[in-house]
Amino acid sequence: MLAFLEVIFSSIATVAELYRRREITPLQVTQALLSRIKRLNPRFDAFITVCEERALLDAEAAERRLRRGEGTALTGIPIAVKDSIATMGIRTTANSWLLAEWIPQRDAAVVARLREAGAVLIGKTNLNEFGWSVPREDDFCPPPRNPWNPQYAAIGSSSGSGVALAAGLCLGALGTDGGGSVRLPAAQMGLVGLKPTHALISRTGLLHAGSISDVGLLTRTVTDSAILLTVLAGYDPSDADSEPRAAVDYTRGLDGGVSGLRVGVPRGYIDKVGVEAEVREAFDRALAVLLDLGAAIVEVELPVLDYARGANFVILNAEHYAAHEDVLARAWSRYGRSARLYHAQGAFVSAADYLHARAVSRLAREAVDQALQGVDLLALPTSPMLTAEAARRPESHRRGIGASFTSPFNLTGHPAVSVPCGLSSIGLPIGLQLVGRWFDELTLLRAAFAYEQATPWHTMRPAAVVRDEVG
Amino acid sequence: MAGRFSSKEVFMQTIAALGLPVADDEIDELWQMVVDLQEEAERLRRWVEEQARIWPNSVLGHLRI
Repeated sequence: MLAFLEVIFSSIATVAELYRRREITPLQVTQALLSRIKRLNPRFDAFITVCEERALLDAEAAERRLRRGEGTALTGIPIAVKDSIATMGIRTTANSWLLAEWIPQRDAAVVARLREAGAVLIGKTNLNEFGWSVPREDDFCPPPRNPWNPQYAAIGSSSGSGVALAAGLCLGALGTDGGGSVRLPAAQMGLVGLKPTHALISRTGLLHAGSISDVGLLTRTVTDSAILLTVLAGYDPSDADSEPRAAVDYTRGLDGGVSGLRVGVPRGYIDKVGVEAEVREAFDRALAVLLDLGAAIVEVELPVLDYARGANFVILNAEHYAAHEDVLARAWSRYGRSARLYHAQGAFVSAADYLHARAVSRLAREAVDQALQGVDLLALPTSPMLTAEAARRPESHRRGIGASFTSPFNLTGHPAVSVPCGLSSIGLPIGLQLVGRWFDELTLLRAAFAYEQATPWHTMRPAAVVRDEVG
Repeated sequence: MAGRFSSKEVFMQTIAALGLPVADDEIDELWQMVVDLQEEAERLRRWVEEQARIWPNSVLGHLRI
């Protein structure tokens, strides 16, 4: 039992190797995960839709492909997909009563790439309604609980994807990140959360992607993040922001270390936002590790980040309203209470407000680019606070305070990754965020890998789930 | 409050003009959200104007603010 549990909680890279050695098969892993989902999903609400039939067919197809020697790094790997990413033939609800029966005719571009690679689509994961509301128990699907401590809600609009992975219900997960919605759940559930450079992964087929949201990756290790990114990145002419670029193997050079790298810390901004004591202590310890590994830690001044957070919030409000304008007027009561108010507030953003926020976006991009000429990476805590409950206090949530360290980099488009860097006294993990130059995911992931390998945090499992398994 | 929605009365008129069927027990919550959002937008407007004054040759120069 415990041995198989080790497989369930392994990395994509490890399971792919076990497939290659024929020590285990995709069907065995998929069946085991489906069994766990049946048992644990009622407790955690990670999935809105479990794709049992489809997953078993995918697993059988993967076995045939592996036998032919035509497998990829993702063949037979069960992946969960956020339910705001379109899946052909499988309902995609965005956790809204409005889309309770919507079955897309086409896959999102990112799902098509998963299919081509032979991944197993195991289910569609929970989110707050359309990714823009405060989750409520009377939502179409109730909010997911954090498997690390089920007394607490799971944070982020990609919360279900994080819960599914942290609870051992899949081997990797896709989310979307418009202000931190992948990096924040990664931080609070002991996972790696990558938001790549803007539009490096096609956004075609995402519900209401807007101008600053991107596909994000949730994995157990940095290597897995690199594996997924290598498969999913690429030009897509149907995404207006996508650029033709040469294919990159993001697993290349991961072990290059951080010796000689300069890591900038925007301490002034971090202090201005304010962070909870345990977050600060974990962050400072993480910087000490990077220093020990040979990186130089230098302070950088980036006051623009405070305005970038605000501009991200204004833009998201305007774009959510724009996407829902006519439906809000026609079908107000079919939205959940929080979702309809959150979407309606954007009606009060003027064109001038929106353009001022866009001006901030350009200035913030310039300022962060300039800072990244003097340093190779930026480092910040991923979240200023430990719990979803703190981030959802009305005075914080209405201004996006919980996303203060993540949302600026949605606005500027820089790639950012959250890696586990500690465990708090209430049993919830803490994340370290690293930010890189546009399209320099190689350096970003190399530094994240070096930190991960030097620390034990990525080997942690949620005690509540493990206790449940082993008694 | 700064911005166009300087009173709750104007806010209520705008809701009606937009055809949003906001329920009576939702008005105060939405109003508070809009107040916060307008304050944030106003803060950004002031900062952008300040940057345009300090850095006339920056990208803001092209915005002719």
